[in-house]
Amino acid sequence: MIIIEQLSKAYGFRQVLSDIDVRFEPGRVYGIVGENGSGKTTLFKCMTGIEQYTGTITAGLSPLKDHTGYLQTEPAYFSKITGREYIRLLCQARGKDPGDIDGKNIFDLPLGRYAATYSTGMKKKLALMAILLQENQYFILDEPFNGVDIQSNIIITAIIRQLKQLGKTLIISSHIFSTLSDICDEIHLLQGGQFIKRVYEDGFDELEQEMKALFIGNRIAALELK
Amino acid sequence: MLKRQLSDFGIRPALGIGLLLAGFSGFSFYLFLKLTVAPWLYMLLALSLVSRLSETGRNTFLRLIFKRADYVRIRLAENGLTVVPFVVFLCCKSVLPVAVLLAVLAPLLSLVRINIPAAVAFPTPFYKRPFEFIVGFRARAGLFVVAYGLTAIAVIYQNFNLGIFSLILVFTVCLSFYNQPEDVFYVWMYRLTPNGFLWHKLKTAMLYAGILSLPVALALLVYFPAHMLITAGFLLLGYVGLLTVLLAKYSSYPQQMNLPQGILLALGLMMPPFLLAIVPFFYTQSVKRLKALLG
Repeated sequence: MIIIEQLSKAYGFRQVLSDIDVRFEPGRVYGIVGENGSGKTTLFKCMTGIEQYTGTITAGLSPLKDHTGYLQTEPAYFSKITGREYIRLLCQARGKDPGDIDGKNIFDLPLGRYAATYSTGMKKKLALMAILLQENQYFILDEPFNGVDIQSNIIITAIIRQLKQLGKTLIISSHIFSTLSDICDEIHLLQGGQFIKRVYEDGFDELEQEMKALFIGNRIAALELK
Repeated sequence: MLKRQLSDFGIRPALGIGLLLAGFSGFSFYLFLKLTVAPWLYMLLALSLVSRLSETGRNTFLRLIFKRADYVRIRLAENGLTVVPFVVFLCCKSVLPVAVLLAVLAPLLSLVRINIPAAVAFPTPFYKRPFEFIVGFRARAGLFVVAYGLTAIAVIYQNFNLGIFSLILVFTVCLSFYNQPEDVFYVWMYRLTPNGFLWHKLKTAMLYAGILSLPVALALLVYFPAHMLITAGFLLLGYVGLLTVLLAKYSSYPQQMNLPQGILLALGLMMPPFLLAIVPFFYTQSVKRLKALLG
């Protein structure tokens, strides 16, 4: 379980997150949605401890960072490290033996090639594979479906369901609402640095309609498309 | 680019360029004082610098944004200007044939594009403990070939100074593996305390620098037994330098090293007794910096 209380974060005078209170239970999948700049990635960075914040975060397994697999929106890669070496590095950092890396290469990635030369989707899949082999209890996945092909999309969805079965806690952000509504138990809407709405499975359709109304409004009409 | 890098380092560009020129002159004089093959080595060094400008990705970008004639002019100017200090120094030392050869070869290199297949990774002996030595070794493998080649020449011509130069070259290249701070993710991910993290990094650096310096050190110990103590001294100095640079890197992490830290580091490397105070200082600072990420 992860409990966040009164979490706030500001960069100088710019308040990015304000008094976030939320609880993430084991064996559940949580979706975080919000516009670009609404604070999703900042929230994830605070949760992992990469960013400093005010407020408290407590977790069943402490310290939280040592049990969290964090998939970044755009994973950073060294220029001359292969996919296989990257996985070894991440597992080694957590004191885990990755075992037969090639045997676990479910995405058929070219692990002998430099990871920096991978496509956006391949980079995402490599980073995901590495954090899965770290055997974490908590997963924070920032845009896991971004740039990923349809086959891998299906595999990632299946992985998330399997992790849920194993009692892991998953927090996922995505700009594709349908991917979240397929896999999440709860979706939290983040706007202006605050959670303004929490919706369970039976209210996902309604939330989608509300979001469309909120984010689209009459903006398309303003374009005066001809 | 140089101006921006100096500004990032916290130093005024004019002062930085002055210091670079002073450092370059000092290095050149020392090289020519100690080694008989200095002119050829000097030319190799200049050409290796120039060759970095021939990298395919960079050249593709230049060709895309400039007209063909402008591109050729820019590349000729880049290569020419890069070797000017080397050519001037070679002329001052009256090594005219090498100076002329360098002045001709450098512009010619602008016509060559070095196209190393970016995706092909050659194996390294460092796969067990990524990442600094894997990345660094692959990026600078050529310099290790040069260092080992010079060691062989040192043995054949019984030139101990050249052998020591090779050893210094190996350690200098290893030090360069630690000149850029990595993305915070690559520190955050460790399930280690700041102390544990630093020890892990230090052990890796010592072990792998040992592997890279072993061929040179062994050759010097076997073929120049009379200078065993000097070899051991330089080995020790190399290790201490590596330790200091590694700690200096994390003492300002995640920022790049700033000017005061750079001065301290330079002072320590030039006058090793100062390291007795500088190393503990960098260590304490590193622990403090890493605490924010590792807890």
